[in-house]
Parts: sequence; C-alpha cells; structure tokens
Amino acid sequence: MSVAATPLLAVRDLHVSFDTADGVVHAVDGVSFEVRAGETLAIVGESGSGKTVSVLTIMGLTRAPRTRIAGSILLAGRELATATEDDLRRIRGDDVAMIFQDPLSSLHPYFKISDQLVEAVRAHREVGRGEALRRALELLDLVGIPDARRRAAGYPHELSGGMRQRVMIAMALVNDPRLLIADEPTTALDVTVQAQILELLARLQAERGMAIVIVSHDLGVVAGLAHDVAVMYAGRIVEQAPAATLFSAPEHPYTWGLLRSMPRLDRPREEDLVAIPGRPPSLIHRPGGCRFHPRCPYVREAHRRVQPELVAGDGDPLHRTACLLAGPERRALWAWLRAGDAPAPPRRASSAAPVEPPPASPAAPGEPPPAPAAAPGEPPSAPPAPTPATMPKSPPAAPEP
Amino acid sequence: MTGYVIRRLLWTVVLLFVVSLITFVIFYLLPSSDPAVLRAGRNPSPEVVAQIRVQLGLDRPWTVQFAHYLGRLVLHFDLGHSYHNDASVKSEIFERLPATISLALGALVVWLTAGIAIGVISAMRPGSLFDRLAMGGALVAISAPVYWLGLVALYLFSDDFGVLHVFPGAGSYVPLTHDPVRWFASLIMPWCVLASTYAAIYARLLRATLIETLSQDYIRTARAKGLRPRRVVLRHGLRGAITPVVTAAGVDLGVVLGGAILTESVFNIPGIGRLAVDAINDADLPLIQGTVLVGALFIVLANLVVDVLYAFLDPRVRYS
Amino acid sequence: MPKLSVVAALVVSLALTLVASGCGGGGAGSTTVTLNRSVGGSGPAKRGGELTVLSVEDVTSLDPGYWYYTYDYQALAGPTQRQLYGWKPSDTTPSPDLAASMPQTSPDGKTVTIKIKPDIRYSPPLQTRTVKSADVKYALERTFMTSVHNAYSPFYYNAIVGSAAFRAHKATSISGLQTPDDTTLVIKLSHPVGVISNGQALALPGTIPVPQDYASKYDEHDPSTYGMHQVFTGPYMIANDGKGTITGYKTNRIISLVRNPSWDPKTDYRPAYLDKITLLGGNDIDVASRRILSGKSFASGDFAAPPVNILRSALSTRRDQLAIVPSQGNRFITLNTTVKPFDNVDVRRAAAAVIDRNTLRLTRGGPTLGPIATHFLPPEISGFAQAGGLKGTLAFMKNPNGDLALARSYMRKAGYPSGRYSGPPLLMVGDDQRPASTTAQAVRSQLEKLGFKFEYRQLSRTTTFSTTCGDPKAKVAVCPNGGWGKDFFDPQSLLDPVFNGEGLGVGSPDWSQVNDPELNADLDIAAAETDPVKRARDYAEIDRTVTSRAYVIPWLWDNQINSVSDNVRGVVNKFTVSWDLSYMSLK
Repeated sequence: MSVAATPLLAVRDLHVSFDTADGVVHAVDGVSFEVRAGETLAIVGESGSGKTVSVLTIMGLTRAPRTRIAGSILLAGRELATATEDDLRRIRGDDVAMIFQDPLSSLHPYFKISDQLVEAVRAHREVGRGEALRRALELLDLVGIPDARRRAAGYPHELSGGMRQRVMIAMALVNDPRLLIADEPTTALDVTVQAQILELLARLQAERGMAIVIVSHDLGVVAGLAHDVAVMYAGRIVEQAPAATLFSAPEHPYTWGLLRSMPRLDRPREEDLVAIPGRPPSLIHRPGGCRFHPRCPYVREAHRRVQPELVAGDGDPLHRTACLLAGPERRALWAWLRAGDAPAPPRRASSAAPVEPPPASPAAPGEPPPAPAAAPGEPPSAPPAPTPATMPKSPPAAPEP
Repeated sequence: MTGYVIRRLLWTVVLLFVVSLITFVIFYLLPSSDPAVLRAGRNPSPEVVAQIRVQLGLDRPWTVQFAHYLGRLVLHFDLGHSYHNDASVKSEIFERLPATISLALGALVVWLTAGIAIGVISAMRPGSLFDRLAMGGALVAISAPVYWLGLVALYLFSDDFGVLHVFPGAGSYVPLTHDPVRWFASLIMPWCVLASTYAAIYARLLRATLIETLSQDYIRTARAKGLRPRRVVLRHGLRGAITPVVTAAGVDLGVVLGGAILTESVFNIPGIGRLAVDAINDADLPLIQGTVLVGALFIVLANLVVDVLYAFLDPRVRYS
Repeated sequence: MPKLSVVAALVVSLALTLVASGCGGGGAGSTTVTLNRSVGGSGPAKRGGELTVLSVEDVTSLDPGYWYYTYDYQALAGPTQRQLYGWKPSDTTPSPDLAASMPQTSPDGKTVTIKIKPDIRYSPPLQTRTVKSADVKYALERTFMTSVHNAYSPFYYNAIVGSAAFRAHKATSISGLQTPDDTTLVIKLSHPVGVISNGQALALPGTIPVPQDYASKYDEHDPSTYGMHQVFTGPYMIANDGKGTITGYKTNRIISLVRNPSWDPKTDYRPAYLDKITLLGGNDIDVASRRILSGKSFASGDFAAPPVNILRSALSTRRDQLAIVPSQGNRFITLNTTVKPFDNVDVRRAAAAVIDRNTLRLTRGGPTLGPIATHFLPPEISGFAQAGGLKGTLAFMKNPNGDLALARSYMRKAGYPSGRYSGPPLLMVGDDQRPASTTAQAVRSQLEKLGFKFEYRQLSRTTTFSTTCGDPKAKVAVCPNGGWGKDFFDPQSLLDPVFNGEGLGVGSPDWSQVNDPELNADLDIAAAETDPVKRARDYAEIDRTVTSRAYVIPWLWDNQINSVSDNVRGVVNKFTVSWDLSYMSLK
C-alpha cells in the first residue's frame, strides 16, 4: 500500500447535525476517511447510518441554516468544510460530481436530456451551446447510450432505468471530475442492469483515473468495485478495511450481519438472507456506549457505557474496528459464523428480536468462506455476485434528515 | 393532439348548448321578472303588456322560443335583441368585450408577476421575516372583499377625491384605441384590486409547490451540477412548480373574462360583468343568454388552453 | 344675456322647515330637519364650464315619447327639449314653454286651444326649421303608437277624440288633434279632463315636438329608433354627427350634452349657464357619493340619497353641498284585500296600529329621510293639508312608534278574542337589497307581535314588481316595500294608479288589489274636476277614505337628498325633485 501518495480526498472527524423540531439529529458523528485518485472507497450501512449525509456534506449539499457541520474535508489539499458557498459551487459538478439513487427523480422531468447535460457543461466551462452539446453527446456515447443524438433530444421518462442512470453518469462525468460520488447508484435498478452500471463505473474509473466514493446499503454491490470499505452505523464508522480484508476477515458484529444478509449464489435463497435483527437507533436519542449494543448479540454490560474507538487490530494497520470485544474473541465468533454454526450468543431478556441461529448450511463444514483471504489491494476473488431477484430488503429505518 | 383539440371543441359546442338550455329553463321555471311588464313601464295597461308579449315572442312556448333562438344563433350568429332596449346583444357584447379583456389580461399580468415573485421569495426562505409578512398579507388579501378593496383604493389614490391624488379614479376608463396613456392609467387601480386576491392565492400556491419542488431529487441534482442558486430556483425549481399556477391562471382568466362584476362596478368599467348584472336586473333574457354564453365560452376555452398547455409544460402528458 | 332678475329670484333659497314627529318616550324629543332647494349661494351666476352628473343607472330611453322616470326628465327632458309647458324650479304649476300662453278651455271643457311660439328652431340637421303645431300633434299621436310605449297616454290622453281609433290602427291620425295654423293646436275631448285644462298633462314629454316627415322613417321600427336621431329644442342637445345621428350616448355609460346652436335664450326662461354637461352612468353609489362630495364639478343624478354612512358625515361637515327636498312620494306597506284575514278592515287597522313607523324610518337613515307619514298624500301635493297635514287624523296612525294595545283591540273587534291572529301562515314578499330588505324584516317582526306568521320571501325589485306583488294571481298577503311618486303636482297621479281597481292587472301598483266600485267612481269624479280647490278637497277625501280603510300603511314621506361638489351652485327643480341642469352653474 502506497502510504506516500497524498489522498485526493481526506475527511477528518466530520460531524454533521440537524436542528429539527424533534431535537438535534446527529447524523454524522466523527467520521474520517480518505480516498486516493484512481481508487474507490465504499461506504456501507443501513439507511440512517449517515453514509449519504457524509458524502453530501463533501459537496456542501447539506449546508442549511439549521445544519451544523464540523471537521475537515480536504480535496486535493483544499479545505471544503469552511469554503464559501460560491467556491463550493465551482467545485460541484466540476472537480467533484455525484450520481444518485433514483435516476428518474434525479433528472428534471421537464427538461430535455441534452439541455440538462449542456447546462452541466456550461455551468463550469465558457463554451457555446454547440460545443457543450458535442461534449454531452460524446459522454453519452461513452457511457454506452446507443443513438445518443436522438436520445438526447428526448425526455428522461422516455428512457429505461438503466439508460437514465447512464445519462446521470454522463452528466456527472461531463466535466472530467477528479472525484465521483455515487450514492446508491444501482439500488433503483433491476439486478442485471445493476451489474452493467457497476461495470461501467469500473471501466470509466480505469480509463479516467478518477476517485470514486460509492455509498450503498449492500456490501454485495460494492464488492467488485471498492478498494476500501468503511462500514457506518449510527453516524460512526464501525469498521474500515481494504475490501479483501473486510470480506475475508470482518471483525465487527454489524459487518457480520451485513455480510450474512448478502444474497449468495451458493446457498438456496430461502436460507441465504439473515437480516440483522432490530432497527437502527434514533439519531436524536442515541444509545450510550457502543451504538450497536441494543442490536448486538454479543453485548456485555460494559458495552452500554463505553464507546469504542475505531482502532487498528493486531497486525494490520489498515484494518480498523470499533468494537469492545477482544480481537481473538471476534475472530473466533466470525469463524463460527462463517462455518454456519453460530454459537449461542449471550442474550438479554429484553432483546427486541431474538437472533435466530443461522440455518444449517447444506454445504459441508469447512467450505471456503465467502471471501477467501486475498492479498490486500487485490480485488477479492470471490465476493458473491448479487443474485437476481433476491435482494435483501432494507430494514425499516428512520428517515434520513 | 389536433384530434384531441377538435374533439374538445366539439364538446365545447355541446356544453354551450346545455348551458344555454339551462339558462332558458331557469329563466322560465324560477321566479323571475316578467320582461314584458318591465318593458311596459310603470303602471302599464294590460293591452300594452299583451302587445309587448307578442312583440317579444314571449307568448309562445319556451321550447319554441329556445328553438328559434338557437336557429338564429347557429344560422346567423345572431344573439338576438335586448328585451329592454332592443339593442343587438351581439353588438352590446362586442362593445363591452374590450374593457373586460383589458381588465382581465392586465390583472392577469399583475397577479402572476406579484404572485410568482412573492411565492418564489417566500419559498426560498420559508419562515423568514419576508415570508411571514408576505403570507400574513396574503391572508388579508384573500379575506378582503374586492368591493371593499376597490373602495379603499379609490379613497386613497383616486385623483378626484382620494387622500393622495395619484391615479384616475372610477369612471375614467377609455378604450385603448382612444387614448392608450389614459387607458393604462385608468386601469392601474382596477388591475391591482382585481389582482390582489389572485396574487395572494397564487403566492401561497406557488410557495407551497415550490417548497415541495425544492426538496425534489432533481433539484439536488441541479445543485450538484454546480448551478448558481438563482438558476436552481428560477429555472429548475420554478419550472417544476409552475404547472399548478398555470392551470389556475388559465381557469381564473376564463372566469374573469366572463366578467369581473365587482371590480367593474366599483370602478365603473363598462365590461361584460356589469352588462350581465344589468341584464339580470332587467330580466333581459337575450342579454342574459348572451353574457352567460360568452362567460361559459371563455371558461371552456380557457380550460382547453390549459389542457393543451399542459402537454407543453409536462412532456410526460400526451393527448390522443 | 341671461335674465338676471329672474335668476336671482330663483336661486334664493326656498328653505322651509318641517317638524317631524320624533322618537316617542325617553329623552328623544322632536327632530327638526331643515329643507333647502338650492345650494352654493346667491348673486349673479357664472357662465360656462362643465358639470359632470353621476348616476347609478341610465335613462330608460332616448325617445322623448318614452320618457317616464325622474332621471329621464332630469337628464334629457329638462335640458334638451321643450314641452308645451315646462316646470320652473320653484313652481308647482306649469309655465308656457313651447306654448305662448296657458291653454284656453271652452266653457263645456271639451275643447282646449294652445298657441305656440312661432320662432323656436330645431337643432341640426333641422336648424332651419321652426316648431309647428303639427309637430306637437304628431308627438301626441306617437304616444299612442306601440313602437313608442308612452306610459301616460292611456291615463291622461285617452279622452282625446279619435285616439282610440288611431290606437287601433283604424285611423292614420287623431281627429281630435287639429292644427288650424302653424301656431295653433286644438284638442277635442270626449269629456272634460282637468289635467289637460290646467296644463299639467301637457307638461309631459309627450308634447315635445317631433317633425313627422323627419321622424316617420324611424318610427317604422319597433321600437322606434327616433331617439337615436332626434332633433332638440332645448338649450342643450346630445352631441350628434351633424346629420342627426347621436354620437354622444353610450348605453349605461355616458350622455354628452353640448349647447344647442339653434336655441335662442330670448324665447326661453332657462338660463343655461353651463357649456357642457356630461352624465356618467353605471356608478357605484358609494363611490359616486364620495366623488361628488369630495371632488369638483360633480352633481348627483338618479339616486335618492347618498348611502347612510356617507350621508351621516356629510350632514355634519358638508351640509351646504346637500339639498334636502320632499320627494313628493311615499312609502307604504300593502295589505292584500283579497287574501284572508286582510279582507277584514279591522285586521288591516290592527296591522296599521302595530307598525312602528319610527323604526322603519331608522332603517333608511332616520329623520333626515323625511317625515313619518300619517296618511297617503305627501307634502307639496295639493290635498295634503286637507287630508290631515303632517299630524293626520286617525287614531291608529297616531303613535309613530306603534300602539300594541290599540292593535289588539282592533284584532278583538275582528273576531280574534286573544287579540292575536290565529290561522295559516301568510305570504310576504320583500325586497332583497338594503336598505329595503332591512325595512321588510322590521315590518315582519312588528306584525308578528300580533301573532301573524309569515312565509317570507326576498326577491329583486323587478321580480316583486312584475310577478309577485304586482301580479293579482300571486296572492301575496303583505308587501312591505311599496311606494309611489307623482306624475305631476296633482293628487290624481298618486291616488288613481294605486287605488283605482279599473286599472288592475299585472304590473299595476295596486298591490292591495283594491277594487271598490264606489271608490273607483269617486276617483273618476275627482279626475274630471277642473276647479283646483274642489279637486284638492275631493282627493283629500279619497285619501282619508283609503287611509281609514288601511288598504295600505303609509309610513314615510320621503325626502330626496341631492348632492353637489363644493364648487357647484345647485338648484333643485321642484317638479323632478332633483338638480335642474338648466339652472346649475359653477362658482
């Protein structure tokens, strides 16, 4: 791992909270991450974990009179957290671009596609309409829209979902951004299209060398794309590691839950989805101690009082976890889980939803784990590909502010 | 689209037929005045009344009268003659139309300009001092009777007896072709008075839809593209929020073109509204029919225009 | 040069004071309302300038043969035309206008001879023509044409020999109208007609000359279009295009009067100070009143009084811009004599006794609006004094605040031992516009004190007039918003239409449906009386009869309150009870 390279984006101790009628919502609570040019950081978590707020804040899109933002956001050495609104505006869509979850609602329904792209060019480039249009068509071509000129003359509702997301990507890339933020870019799409879009992002990154921050609630989506993964829970990062490490040797019980709720090709679909019991906590009245303790099957009394720090484990400085369980214990638990043989977790009587032991795996014990250990930095060789039509349902969540 | 418009126009004809039938039936079934007696003057002799009844054709069954009326209307575009003074209803209406159109279109401009400006500024900063003052003012304007507003405006600003002698007051209307400057000056107060309620309604409507629109994903996209805030609100936001305003404006314009009775009365503008009131007072059926038909026609056409406009405003809408 | 001496005499204020009975009981005593016919000072008047008259409605027609309502007279008949006889502002008898002298009646009363001034010319395009007796003859014939709809001829001219044949199209002219020469008109009557002999019925717009050869092509239309092409004889004319087509008129909008170049002041008593008179219709009464009082060079047109709130402040701050004059009309409640229980005279008297006329007057604005009526004929109409003057004579009309005990006693007399009505609900139709609607509500609740129950309907004035109260078949028991005004200063024009059952029919003002042969005969006898003193006495007697039978309950003798701007010198004409535009001037 090249430690010397300066990260393109470095977020340090980011806090974002919103004043609402119900109280202060602490959406992001001390989050740090970085991403280098040409690399991809995935931020993963349930709805309401603060992942989207974090990335919107990078672009200044959460700024509002009732929003408090603290911390540092350095883009190529330049501080964005305190930049003026106008400076931020110049960066948005130029140095940093963003695509969103639902391409239909994210495109203006009343404007032609060409107009929306041309507008994006001309927001940052002093070029004529014709020149901007040429650029727009070039990008539409690039993202794989057939017959781009004709499509561009149409309206978003005339395109399929996948085509719309390609338009969004073209619009994001039209000014050659150094950083692309993709917020759940495939969630609204059906599964085959998901794969195409992810492939497209990977290809574009390879060609253009831009950095990507991808946000998803689904580890499966990011598995093929991400170099690094940060798992967020209740406004904090609970585990952060190179992708291969995270998939092969996750150390946080929440990550285990996420991994086990991934659909897998090698298991019957009735058995492969293990949801994490309970619901994400309120961000107004947050649980004390470890934020995850009310849902953690392995909770101990102390975990309710002490808030764990995100620290590197034994050996791998790039793999950091915020968990109060001891390292060996975590590794042992994961080994059991992976073997499909969950130990009886210590239970609280008041636990909202009992953890069901994972169903007996039809596969023989000792079967290779879903993500075999791989060299750091190398894409994991066997992250399970998403299975058609068996996407996990998002747990019911408090709406993000 | 053309087929759609043609079908709608055919329906308009049917609708106008029904409207005029209803007007006829109401006139004959509900307690109303006897036009022959009214025309005969004070203390008429029964013979004179009978004579007039024959002269106006009122002695025949109403169905025959209605058929006769329709026949003349369809064949000659003849709206008949006033029972009261025998004037041609068509020429009476055409003489009054310019005033009503002047009043309605000018008021539309005023209320759209004011309503949109206030609505946009309020929506950009909901809860701000401006927003609270504007929305409070809008409530006042919506609750205030037009008649009362008209009187207050005259007492404050009319150049003959106002506190401040600013604008030409009641009865100062002249046709545009006669004296454009005076035409404009005389309509300033009526425009503002007629527009005030609508401006208030539109400001509130636009504020609500714009606030909702500004929370849409595509507005976030527009911001993420690095557009200037003004462009985000005025182009992307307004374009998304304007549809209900345009719909309302079309329909309201149709209604106002049918006659803004109170405004026309207070400011003594010789428009369709006052013609209709006079016609009703005089039990002047041909004139009532004429004004009702004109009003209905405007409303129906305005609705059609709005629906056609819809297809341009929202590319997702298609008529076949 | 205007005749200054005449003018000075006319503009002298003819103020008279009427003492009206005030609120009974408590501290309120009698209220004095000062009446005045002119405002704006005396002395020589200024010539020239333009006056604007604001009215709510319009004249009813441009055709002189149609003119009927006060505003027709004020706006058109007075300033633009000359009748055989006209009304000087302060007179109650007509003066010769086109005529050179008062009419000469033969001893048998059946031949009336009128001499016409020889040198009166028409407005352009007939400026070279003088008015001839034949033009008056044709004008009188026009009043019988259906295309003209004259409302007076059936009542005042039907005794002219040959008029019935002409009306029935059996004759091409009226044989009883003869023109031995250009300046003489002879009227042959089948029986004596008092109001023709005394000139009153010849001071109607039906005598405005109409040149037959010019007008007949317009009279072929039905209705006649002569109004839009008429030629004028008065000091003013409606602006025209020089070829006879009127350009200065727009329905409900404007009447533009300019000087008539053919008018010769030496032949006329009218001073005609103003150069231009613009009459604007279609005004809101509130706005119009405010403009007149606060603006410059305005005068009120067709409305009887400013709205109550404006009147109240004007009375204290702008009293010198108001002329308060008796309207020579009255307001009354009608009780339908063909509907039980009002066929019983004692029930009607009970109703009259219980009515609190003082409260009813308050609904219109209080004492300024006129004295409380105690009988039918209003002040300034001959017979008023003989019929009881202001005080009246009848016990049940005595207390202006109503007399419940007396009313109960009449009810007992009528066969209701409890003093209260018991029977089915009665139909009552009131006006739907304020203040009349307020008055109607008050009448209703006052009558309910006697146990009457009502099925109450509110309708527009025109509906009330033509299809409910004015329709005998509608059998409306009580109409609270009745009223009537004079045609001229003669009691016949008030009593005959309202009480003579021979004229009963749709649109008749006889809302009580009175049809008493004896009363009809008395009315016919009085109408034929030519001696003014006897005539007044006869009609006063009829007034006492109808009032004591309580066919109607008179409650107000209206005042009309005319207003002008503070730079206008105003003169009210006693005949029209509104501003006389031929006598108005600017300060």
